[in-house]
Formats: sequence, structure tokens, C-alpha cells
Amino acid sequence: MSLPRARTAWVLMLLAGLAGCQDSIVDLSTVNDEELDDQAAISPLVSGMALTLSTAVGFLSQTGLIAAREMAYGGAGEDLGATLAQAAGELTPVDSDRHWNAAHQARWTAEDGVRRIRAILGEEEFARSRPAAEALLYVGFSNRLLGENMCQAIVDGGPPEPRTVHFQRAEDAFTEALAIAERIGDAALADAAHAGRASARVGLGDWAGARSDAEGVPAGFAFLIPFDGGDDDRSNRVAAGSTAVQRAHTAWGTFYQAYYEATSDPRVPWGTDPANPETRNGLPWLFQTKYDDRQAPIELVTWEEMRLIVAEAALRTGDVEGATAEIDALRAAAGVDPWPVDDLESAWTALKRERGIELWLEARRLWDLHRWLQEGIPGEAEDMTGRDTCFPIGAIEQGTNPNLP
Amino acid sequence: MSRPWLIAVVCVAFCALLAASSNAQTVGAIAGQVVDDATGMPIPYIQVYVVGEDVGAVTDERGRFRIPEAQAGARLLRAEGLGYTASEAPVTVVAGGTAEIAIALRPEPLRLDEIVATGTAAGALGRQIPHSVGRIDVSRIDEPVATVDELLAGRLPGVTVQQSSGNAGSGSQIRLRGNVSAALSNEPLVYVDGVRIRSDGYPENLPKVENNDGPNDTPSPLNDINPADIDRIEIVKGPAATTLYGAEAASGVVQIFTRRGRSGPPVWTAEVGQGFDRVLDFGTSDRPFVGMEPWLDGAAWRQRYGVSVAGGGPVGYFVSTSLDRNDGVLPDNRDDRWTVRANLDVQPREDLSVRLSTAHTAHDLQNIAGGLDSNSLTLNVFRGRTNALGDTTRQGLEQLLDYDIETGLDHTILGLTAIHAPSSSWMNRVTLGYDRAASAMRQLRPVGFVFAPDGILAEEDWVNGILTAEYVGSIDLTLPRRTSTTLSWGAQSVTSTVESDAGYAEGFDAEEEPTIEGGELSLDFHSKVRTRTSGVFGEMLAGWRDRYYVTGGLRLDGSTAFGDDLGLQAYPRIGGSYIVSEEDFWRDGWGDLKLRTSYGHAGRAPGVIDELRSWMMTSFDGEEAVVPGTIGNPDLGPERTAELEIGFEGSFLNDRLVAEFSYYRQRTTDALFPITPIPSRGFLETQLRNVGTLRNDGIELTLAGSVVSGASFGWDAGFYLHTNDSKLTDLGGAPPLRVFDAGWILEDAPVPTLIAPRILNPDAIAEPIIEEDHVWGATIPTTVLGVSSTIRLPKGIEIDARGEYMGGHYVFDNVGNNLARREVYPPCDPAYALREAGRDDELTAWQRVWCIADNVPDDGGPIYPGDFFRFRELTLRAPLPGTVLGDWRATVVASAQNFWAWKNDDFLLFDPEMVGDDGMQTIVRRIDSQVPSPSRFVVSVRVTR
Repeated sequence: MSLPRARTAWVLMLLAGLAGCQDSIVDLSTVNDEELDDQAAISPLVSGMALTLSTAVGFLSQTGLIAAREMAYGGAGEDLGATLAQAAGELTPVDSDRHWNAAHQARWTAEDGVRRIRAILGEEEFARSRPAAEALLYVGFSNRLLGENMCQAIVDGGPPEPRTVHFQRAEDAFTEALAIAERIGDAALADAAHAGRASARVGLGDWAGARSDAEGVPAGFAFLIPFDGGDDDRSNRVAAGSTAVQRAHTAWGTFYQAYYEATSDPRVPWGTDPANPETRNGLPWLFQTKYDDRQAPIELVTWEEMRLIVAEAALRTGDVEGATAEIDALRAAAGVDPWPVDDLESAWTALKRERGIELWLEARRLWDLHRWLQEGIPGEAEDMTGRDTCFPIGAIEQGTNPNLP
Repeated sequence: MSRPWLIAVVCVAFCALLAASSNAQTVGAIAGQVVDDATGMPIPYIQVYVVGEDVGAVTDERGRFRIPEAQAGARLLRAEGLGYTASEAPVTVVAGGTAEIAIALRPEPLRLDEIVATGTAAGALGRQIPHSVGRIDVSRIDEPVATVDELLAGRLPGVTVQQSSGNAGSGSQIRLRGNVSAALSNEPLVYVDGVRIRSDGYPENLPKVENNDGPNDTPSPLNDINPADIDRIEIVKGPAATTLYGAEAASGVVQIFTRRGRSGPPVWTAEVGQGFDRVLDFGTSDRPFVGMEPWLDGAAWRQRYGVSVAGGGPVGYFVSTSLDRNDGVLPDNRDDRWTVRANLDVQPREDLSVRLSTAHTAHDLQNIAGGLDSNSLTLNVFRGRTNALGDTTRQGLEQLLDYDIETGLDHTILGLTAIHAPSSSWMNRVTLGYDRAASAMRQLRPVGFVFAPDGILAEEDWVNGILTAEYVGSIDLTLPRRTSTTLSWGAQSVTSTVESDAGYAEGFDAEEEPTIEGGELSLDFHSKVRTRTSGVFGEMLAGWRDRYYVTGGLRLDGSTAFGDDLGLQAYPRIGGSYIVSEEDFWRDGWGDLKLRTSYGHAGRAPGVIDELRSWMMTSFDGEEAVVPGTIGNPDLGPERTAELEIGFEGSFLNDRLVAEFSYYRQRTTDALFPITPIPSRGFLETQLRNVGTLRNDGIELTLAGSVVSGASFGWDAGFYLHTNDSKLTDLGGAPPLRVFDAGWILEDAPVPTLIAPRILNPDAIAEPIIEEDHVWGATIPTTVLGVSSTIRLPKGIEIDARGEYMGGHYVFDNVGNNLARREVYPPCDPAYALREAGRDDELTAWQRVWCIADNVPDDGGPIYPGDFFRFRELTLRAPLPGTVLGDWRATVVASAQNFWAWKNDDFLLFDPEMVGDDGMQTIVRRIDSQVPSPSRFVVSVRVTR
């Protein structure tokens, strides 16, 4: 540190006959910002992006499942359940702080990390760097998470903007990641970038682009965000809320209760526990078993989602047959019967239900319901009457950001 | 534990002892007893010496002394000691014989002519001091005190000491005149024999990953000091008195003076203490220990052994060692402390004296996980059927005891002071000191542990070294017309280096001893932070006619913790005292009266890394990871607290009543607050900024009197009152800050303040009427009352009793909130029964909020009124007649401490003195999943020769 006035006092001490030594600060459990401008920091930076995104997905999946009626509120508080307001479908700024803050930290960490890695490597090396492409994927997925869940966009303390800003940033990041992946011949990265961009383009309403990207993703592809399960913030919070202690939510009363009872579709599994028949608030406890434990990863994007993007793109052009074929193929793979489809509306119902099933408990449903409601898309889905379909700007952001009224 | 310097110190000390013995030249002896002129009671630790000769002795616990080597003939004997007017008496020494003499010393309750070392540059007489000074004469305390925390608790107004928890080694929280900072440590600075030591707690024994796993408690370095080594403690409580300590002294200064050898033959003292600790009920009548009954030791054994020798010839020496072994009240808890001290005093030249102070403590703690940690026994027991373990059986819960947590504290304090006095009016003093507080922390969850089947090992070696260098010079100038002036000047540098090497590993082979290197995941952490604060100071004290005194002083400080452009900080002070009783109109029988006032500034510096933008290093999915930490503030500076103090000290009714009163008014500007950054900028951790202003006002009143005074019976009684009214007056435009759950910082409220829902009709059988966001009030006591009583009986028997009331504050029950949300909150047991019977309509409004999980406010209470009265001490001291084992004299002391408490009826669960998982460092006092501090019952035998 350079503190001339402190040293002035020290000089006075020397005059008094006392000796001194140089100041130094080293703290590797808290790393100084400038120390990250180093090649050795790139890997920890990218892992940090994954960690912050993981935390954000944990929060949004936990509350999103209640808000979007994927499961019903079980009586546990907001640590692993929901607040009473959230349970009633009201997403307040105060209750949304954790989600807003975590998602924005994930975005900022990834975007700042990309800026830093670019500076460390230089443009030429950056354009051929696998960690750089990974980092760009985290930029893309964190922006997609914000775009899909937050009612408004804010970037780095700026003014509020439409949420499409996040989708645009996501698309740009996925595009650059794709270019790097193709340049270095990394097919897995390219698939992730393609798939991510397809979902971002859905947010932008670019269905042709989305379909084009989705078509390029190979069968069996999935990109997951891990959880190490260390503490709640590092855990799959949906799984953490599904323990006999928490009993935070239940499939009881939701579409997925009856659907699973009727079909045993392995994509929406739930179970019962004779020793704990009820949730904390006295509902029958039908706990999800999609995620076995706190370390279970959550899928950020999959081939199955790509097929549903293709199907939805088809439906938007009136191609009921093409859309139904995609959906039926997924259902056949899951071992369940096709949806009864006889017109455009029932095809939309099938599409809506199928996306709900395929993306169950992945922090995606609120966005689907929101955009369909906004567009007035026909077909049945969860009844969101009187319920919020996106998270507002968090109370802390509102209280600290000078660009907000 | 074994260190080369220790051997050297012990050798030096005993060589000095031998040297002292070999120099004995006896021609006649003087023996006798020193008693209190007012009470007739013997006075221990009085220095008695022959004027003009280098021979003397110190009185033992019975006030007796023996000088074996006085020159024969007519001699003048002088006796002097703390709190008494020195007295001289003629004595005739017969060669080969023993002259017997009794000396009675007159108490000087105001101590106007005693030197006070704390708060002034070079020391000053009590009459010259413009501020209040709290003094504890440890040698006069009968109670077998185990820690310095206990020495400070409940004895002085404005010194608030609250216990933390029942964990072995738990440190107490000390506040002088309340909180002056919302963001920084409010622990006072601590000096031992002029050497700055660490005053903040040791770090908690927690891993660098998953960092709430562990005991969640804080040992105090202060408790590494053996109380039996302490002669006296001086306390100055605010900036009006601490200006000369500079940029870190706003929370006050505690100065400990350890015992030293005095001229005379060796006086040996040995002590053996045996006793036990026991936790008092902290639950409801049906569940008095909230399920912890099977786990609490109802009589956790305490042992204490100590021996010391003090004396002096050419070399004054005090050498001591002690061993404390305490079983904790919790299972697998232990607190073992071994201390050794050697203090040497030499005067190689007439104008030069040198003091060496050395001490070392090895303090080993064993704990189990506690607090808000899923591995915690208390958490799992309190949560009952809803616990994290999913098992309430004893066998199931015992699995948690496989978690081994060990802390090895090594504390070394070295001090060297040289005083050069070329003349009676000119003095130079240089002090060099080094304090090394080290903690070796280890915790192991072995392979197969219930919450870590693959095993987790965390280790950390942490060291805080504080180097103190100080020079003080002073010169006395006697001017005409009975005017005197003392000029003092000096410089001080304190360099603190905190270094940590830590490792974290998980995933071990069950067949091998776990090591950090042997884990499937292995992480290393290293940190080293050095902070230096350097300052120069000057002071002028002017007096006229022994009754009017004015003091002015200034300190200039620079610190590496200040922002780059902040520069030097200036801290001024001015004060005055007036000895009214020296006036001609004051009659002899009226006693003594001193009026005083003082005004000064002091600071509180932030941590050196607070100005830096930093990232946290952690792990994720088996890889090293960095995530945003704090956003940094390059403009960071120290807080500045200004204090005005006005008061008086008086002794009345022929010294039978002593009164002291102070009013203080503190204003902290540039107050540091943890401001929440804009979340969309990525950093979520709060950042310190100098934005606020807060005030702190109150009074301190002490009354001490001799109710009955006689040769064979006496009764002294004491009382003190302290009030503290704290308010944040300006938050710099920032919105209210939430610092912990229900703890907030907001304008026009104490710092911090509890805000939580309040039920307006708690007892009505009706739906609750709730006032949301009710401002409850302060979290630290606003009123403290202390009472004490000493009864003196024939044969030197004394009974001491001491109690303390604290109130006016509120306590957030964080455990209660968790239990209520799980519907296992003990105060709700009757309500749960009603609900089970389907009689919900009979629930009171309070029960409808707190006994139905859906209705429990998140993090919003319950809030309890914190008022309590606690019997701090009841002690019986009885000297045994005659001698034992030759010429040793014995005293038996039996004491019960903190053995009874009253608390407010609305304090439903746990104990008002609990402070929460941050231990003594906590900002928002609260109740976390710990058990309260235990009561203590000890019998001690002290022998002296």
C-alpha cells in the first residue's frame, strides 16, 4: 500500500529513535482484485461463474416451482420453501432480493470474468480459448436466467430496461462462444452454445433463429449446472426442500399429481412417505423425486428442449402435424402415450404441458407461462390468474440504485 | 508449549531470586501487621520498608510482614499501598532480635495523591486527572476469579461484561459506555504492563469452506492472563480520556498492571481450588433445559493450581505459574490453561530503572459443534423431531460427538520498559512490547460421520503479532506563585500482523489418518495482513495551588488502514480538575471533593483490507473458484468520537461514604456503516463507508459506604448505576440497514435496533393485532445497576456478595424463531396441546402467531425484554488460625458465582446474557443454538509464607 501520510507519522517515529519495516498485505482467502489479472486465475474465475450461476438457479428453481404452480406450498419458510406471499403467487420486491441478487451476481461475475479473461489473453488467444468459451456460456445462461425470470432488466446499476436486453446479451455471448468452439473444434461446447442460443432466441421472439439452432443440437445433449451440496446456497434447493424435515412443497393439487398418477411419466416423479404423510401445512406430502439429493445437477438446456422449440416454432406457423410429431417422439421416448391432439388449440395444450413436464423444477416454467399469457397463446396450462409471472426488481436494488425512481 | 525463551525467563528469574537470597545481611528483624485505621482489618499487599535502607517486605493476606535484615538502631518504617495514605512509624531494631510493630493506615478513598498511569502521557496524580478512572485492586478481591472477564464483570459502572455461552473457553463481551461503532469492534483496547495486546477475540474455529461448521464461539485473549498475576486494573472509558491512545481508542482502554517484586524476602503464595460448573435452567418449567438434560454435566469439575513468589533485592522479581483444568458443562468440552510469568525489575543506575515483563499461556480447548450448524448437538436437540439429523434418540445424537474440534491457544506477552530520570523533574521512558496470540485450530469429521460420510478435515494456524514501541518524555517545571507545569511528549507505533495458514480437505480413506494433503479435495488458504498505526503526541498539565489543574493534549495518527488520501488524523483533548476540598473555606470534617471535566477525541480505524476490492477464494465442484467479495472503498477513514465528560468524586461523613459521578456525551462522526452495494454490480457483501453520525449519552454513579465499622464487625455496602442512551442521528442519506435478521441500523434509534412485529393483544383469545416493523429498541443494556456488600466478622472472616441488574434492552431469539417455524418451540407446548385437541379457537393472539408455523414471521422475533438481575458472587473468606506446614498461613475461600438470576417474565427461553454465534464479537446480540454460561461453585485454599 502507498500511504504517504501514514509514513509521515512513521518518519516522526523514526525521529523518536524507533525503527520500522515495510507494509504488506497478502490475503489469499480474500483475493485482491488485481491479483486476478493473471493466467492462473482464469480457471478459478470460470469455476466462480459456475458457482454463482448454480446459486442463482438454486434460488429461482426453489421459488419458481411454487410461483409457477409446478408444486404446491408445503408450509416451510423462505429458507427452503417460500414466503406466504410467494405461496399466494405474489412476488414482492423484498421477497425477491435473494433471487435478484444471486442472478445478477451470476451475470456480473460471468461478464466481468469474460472482460478480464479477454484482457489477460488478448483477443487472438481469447478467440481460441476453451475457458473463454466456457465463460461465455455462463454469460449466456446467466442472462437467459435473468431474462426468463425477471420482469425488468438492469445492467451494472443502470436504469431499468426491457427484459429482452438480457436475452440479447445471452444471444451475443452464445454466438461468440459458438465461434470459439467451432474454431477449436470442440463439439460439446458448440452444442451448448447452439442450444443456449436457441433458448435465448425464444426470448427474443426469433423463432426462425431458435429453430435453426435447435435443429443443430444432437440427440442426448444436455448441459447441466452442478451443485456441491455444501450448504444451502450451494445446494439443489429443490432437493433440499424435499426432505422429511423440510417438506417444503408437494405435488398435491397440481397438474403433475394427477398426470404422474395416470402415466408414471419418469420426468415428473414424486413419492410419498408413510412416516411423514403431510407437509407442514397439512397437505398430503407428495415429494418430488426428480432430484435425489442436494448435489443433483439441474439441466440448463437439453436436446429435448430443442425438440420442443422446434415443435413450438412449427405451431407458430400452424404446422400442427409437425409439432405433434416432435412431441409424440419425446413422449414415446419417455414411455408415455401421445397427447390427444385434434386442432391447433389442443396442439398448444400438448406443447404447453410437454414443456412443463420436460422442464419441471428447472426454473423455466414461470417464463413459459408469462410469455404465453402475454401473447394470448391458446391451450391449457397452469392457471395463473391473479398470480405474478415474473420477479420484480429486488428491494435492495431499488433502495441502492440511483437510476431507479 | 515449550519454548526456549521460557526456559531462559525461568532461569533468569530464579537466578535473580538466588541472588536476592545470597545478599542477605541480617542484623535484626522487624515484624508486624498493617491494619486499616477505619476498620481494624488487616491489609494485604502493603509495601513496608525501612527509610534509607534497601530492605522491606510486603504484607501477606493477614496484613503481616517480616523484614529480617534491618540495621540495628532507631529506624523509620514506612508503609504505603493502593488506596491508603502512606504512613511512617519509628521502630528500634535490636541486633539479633525482632522488633514488633503495628501500623494503621488511613484509607484515602479518592486516591488524590496516587499515580494514575492510564489516560495521561506520563502518569499523573489522581487530583490532576480530569476524567474518571475505573480502578480494580485485584489483590483485594477475595473471590477465586478464574478469568479477567470475571474480574471486570459487575464491579464498575460503565463497564458492561456479558457472558457469551456455556462452551468451554467462551469469551465475554466487554463494552465501556456502550457501542460507539456500528461496524467495527467495540472491544476496548487492552494494555498489559504498557504493551498492547490483542483485544478482539480469537478467530472462531471454523473451516474456510462451509464456514458455519464448528463451535460458533470466540475465545478471548484477555482470558489467557492469569488473574492471580494481576495487581490492579485501570480503565478509562471514552475519548475524553483515551485521546492519547489515538486512532483505535474510541471504545476505551483497559490497562492491566501485573504484580511485581518489591524489596524484601521472598513471599510465596500457593493456591488450590476445586469446584464445579453447572448450567441453570434456561427453558420452560416443563422443559427446563430444552431437551439438553442428558447432555449437560450437572457438576463439571474445575481445578486450579497456582504458585508464585515475589520479593526483591537488587533485582525485584515476581514469578508465577498456574494450571487450570476445567471440564465443560457440555460433552467433550475441556478448557485447560497453563500460565507462567516472570517479571523482573532492576535499577542498574540511580537514574535508570528497567522493567521486564514476560508471560506465556498455553490454553487448550476442546469443543463440539454449536450454534447454527447442522452438526451442532444443541441445534439438533433443541429442534427435536424436526432436527437436521432426523433422529432424536440418544444413540443417534451421539453420532454428532464424533466431530472433534480442538483449539490450541498460545499467548506470549513480552514487555521491556526503561525509565531514565536524569533528575527529579525530567523523565524519559521507552517501552518495547510484543504480543503474540496464536491459535492452532483443527476440526475433524471422520469418515462415516453422519453429515460427512467421506470425512472432512479443517486446520488453521493463525497468529496475531502486535509490536508496540513507545517513547514518552516529560519534564516538570515549578513556576512562581505555586504554579506547576508538566510537559509530556512521545511517539507510539503499533504494528499488528495477522497471518493465517489454513487447509481444508474432504474425502478420505477410512483406513488412514486424515491429512489435508490426503483428501480427495484439498484446499490451502494463506493470508497475511499487516496494519500499522503510528502517532506522536504531546500533553501539558498545569496546576496552581494544588487545587486547580488544566490538561491539554494532542495526538497525530497515521495508519495503513486509512484511505490513500486521508492523511494524518488529529485528536485533541482538554480537561481540568478542581480540588474543592483544598479551599480554605472547606472544613476538615467535610471530607474531600474533586470536580472534573474533560473533552477529547479518539478514533476507530477500519481493517486494512476494508478499502480493497476483493474476491473470496473457495471451491466448487472440486475446483478452486473465486467469487465476488467486497467492492472496496478507497476513501475509507477512521471513525471519530468526541466525548465530553463532567463529574465529581467525593468522600464524605469522615470518609465513610464515597461518591463518584460522571456524565458523558459522545458523538461519533464519519461513523462507518456497512452499506449494501448495488446488487446488479455483482458485489453483494456490504461495504464500509464513513457516512453516519451517532451519539451516546449517559451517567455513571458510584456510592460506596461503610455502614457499620468496628474492630470485630463491619459492613460495607456499594451501589453503582450506569445509563447509556445511544442513537444514530444520521445515516448519511442511506436507507436503513439490516445487519442481522431483526437487527437494524436506522436513524433516531439505538445502534443496533431490533425491528420485528409486535402483537398488540398478546393475551387476548382472538386473532392477533400485529404492529409490523415495531421498533423494539437497543440490543445492549441501557441501564445497569450493581450492588455489593462486604460483611466483616471476627477472626478475619469476610462475606462478600455482589449482584448486577441490566435492563432496558431487547434480545432476539433466533433459536425461538427456528423452533416456532418447526412447531417445536417450548413456550408453545400448551398451545400445541390445544391444537392437537382441535381447540384452536382457544389460542391466544400470541399463540396464534408463534405456535402456528405458517404464521411465524421470517427472522422477525420472538423478541424478549432483556432485563435481568444476576447474583454475580457470594464469597466466604476465612483465614485458618495459626500456621500450617511450618510457617505457612492458610486462607479458605468458598465462592458461588452467577448462581441465581431473575429475568423478565416475558423472557421465555434461554438466557439474557447470550450473545449469538459471533461470540464476543457480535454486533446484534441474539440467542443462537448454544447453552448459557454456567454457574460456578469453587472452594479455594491459599497459603502464603
